[in-house]
Amino acid sequence: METTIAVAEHRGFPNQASDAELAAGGDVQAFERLYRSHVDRIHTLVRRMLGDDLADEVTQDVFVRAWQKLGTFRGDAAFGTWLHRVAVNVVLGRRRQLAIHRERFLADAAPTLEMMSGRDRVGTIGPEFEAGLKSLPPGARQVFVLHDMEGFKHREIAKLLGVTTGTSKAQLHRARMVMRTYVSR
Amino acid sequence: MNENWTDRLSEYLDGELGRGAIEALEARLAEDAGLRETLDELRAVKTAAANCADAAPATDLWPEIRDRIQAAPEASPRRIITVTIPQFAAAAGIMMLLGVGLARMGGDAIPGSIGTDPVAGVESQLQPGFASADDPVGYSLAVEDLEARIKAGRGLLDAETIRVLEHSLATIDQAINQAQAALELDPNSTYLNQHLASARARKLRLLENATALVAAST
Repeated sequence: METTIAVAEHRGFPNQASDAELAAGGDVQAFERLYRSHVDRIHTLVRRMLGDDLADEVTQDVFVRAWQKLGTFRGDAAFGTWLHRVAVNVVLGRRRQLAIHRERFLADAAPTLEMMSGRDRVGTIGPEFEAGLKSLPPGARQVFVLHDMEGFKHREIAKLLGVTTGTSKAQLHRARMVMRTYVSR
Repeated sequence: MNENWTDRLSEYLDGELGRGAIEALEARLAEDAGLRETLDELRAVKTAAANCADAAPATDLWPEIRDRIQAAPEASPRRIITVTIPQFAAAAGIMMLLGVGLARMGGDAIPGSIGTDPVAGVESQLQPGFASADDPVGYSLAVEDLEARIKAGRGLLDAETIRVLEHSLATIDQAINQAQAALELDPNSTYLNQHLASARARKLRLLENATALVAAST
């Protein structure tokens, strides 16, 4: 029975399987190609979860962590999916470090505006939506990003954030109610 | 508009309400324009969020990432070494033969080992100062040392090898635990003491084999 790294090729990124394998062997150029393919998505995730001020630094942390852990990537998932998980773990680790959750979830009653001063980088929805995202309390913002933007289930979010699924649902609804005004403007 | 119904709208949108709650909410929606409007707004938020585009960072982060990963070569990913099951078994066999050979060359097993134990010869491979399987303190230190070396080199072994190794260790640990539990009831049993020493020797041998594989992969 021969067991190899067997990195799966996946839709849309046919060369990333071999790049992941090359990078796992220490090929920095291959890793740079992976970085170029995924940096936008990872940076966006980090920015939405933690805010503009930390986005660059934590994005770097994500890719350094991914480099360190590439040996554990065995291709049973798409590289992008694996990297996304690494990113979420790094973000949540940073979140714990920052003790953002000191006013976690239902306790953080008033929407905070602490991240409004950061650089504006927006997607196709427009600056209002991104501004609305920044105005959400940290707990509600993280649930909203993970559920509505990243496709996580409440069960997964609850596990990641250490809350109940009921809390995750309540935070999501709360976030959506706030975000209504930024969509309908 | 009833706040209690409003609070259920997200769950409704996400398909997480039970049938009864859906029917009740839809009945309410039919007669409450404000509730319908809120539902439409929430739906728009959900759609907008799902369609938000990613944005590139303002500056290229790669140079700093490259510097960081090159500055910490010890943390770089290592090439995965593929070891097939037959190879693993062959390595184990070689180590066993080596142990038996050394035991024959060296005569009696080391003091304290179980002379009649079929794996007693393995203990003679142990380096000076290294533990024998029936030296509890030395044995624990040896196991810790070997496990640490395997853990450090774990990334060099392929998944199947690790699976086999972990399965074998779990089996041996179970035997050790059972022997220890039985010895608490009958501490003077020669058979149980031999059984425990034998299981510990097997564990040491397995860990040594795995350590040898890690060393050969570096």
